[in-house]
Amino acid sequence: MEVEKADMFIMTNAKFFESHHVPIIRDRLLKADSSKWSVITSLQFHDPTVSLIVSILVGTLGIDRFIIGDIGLGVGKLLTCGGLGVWWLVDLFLIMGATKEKNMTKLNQFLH
Amino acid sequence: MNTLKKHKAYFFLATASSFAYMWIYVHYFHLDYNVSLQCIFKYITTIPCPSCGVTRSIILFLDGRILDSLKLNPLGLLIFPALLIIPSLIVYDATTRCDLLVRAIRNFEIFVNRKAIAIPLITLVLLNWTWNVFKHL
Repeated sequence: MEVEKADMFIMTNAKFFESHHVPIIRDRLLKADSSKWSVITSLQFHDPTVSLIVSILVGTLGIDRFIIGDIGLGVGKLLTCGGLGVWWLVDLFLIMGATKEKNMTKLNQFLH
Repeated sequence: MNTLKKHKAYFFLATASSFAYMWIYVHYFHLDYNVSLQCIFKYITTIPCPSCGVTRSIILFLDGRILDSLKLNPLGLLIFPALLIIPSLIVYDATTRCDLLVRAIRNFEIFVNRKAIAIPLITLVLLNWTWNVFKHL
């Protein structure tokens, strides 16, 4: 893939990934076939800020975990009242990182 | 799932199960049924959350009052078997070096993620939540 395309992807989507993942993504994009470009640009990533807002508002119901695809953790959170508030509080700090990890997993499926 | 993530999952589930058992033990011996536990959702919104009353429901079940337990919050009768199965599977996996629990959770996630299963489950949880609100749990 061309350098311009890879850089454009990074500029547009860097906020969806952990900062230490960005150089890896750029390298993989450069090595990837150009035919994958249309698929990669059409991918919808979860916004970590939205996850944080959802976590603050309805985190005790596990909605934040359901949104990013952690069904098991979502059910656990829902059935325990957000882990009696403790899990909800801890997740406020973890949810952005978890969302970015999920985005990375999603992108990896298309880059391999 | 890599080994580190698996270890984290087992540690998390073991800690959560131990805390749940301690929580039930403390409330079984020291809490009156009429005392309502304030969850953070209820504290902020004054509306009970879908799982409000689960501790009391489990305590009623342990006392043999199954119908009262169902009336209070049916989710209690769903969580109680999970509290028996999860620690048993943790012990089984630790002794046999299998990953039965992780695989079971992964299969559960795949099962629940289907629309035909997810929609009725969400509806049931919402109906139960509405019932909780009307019961003033």
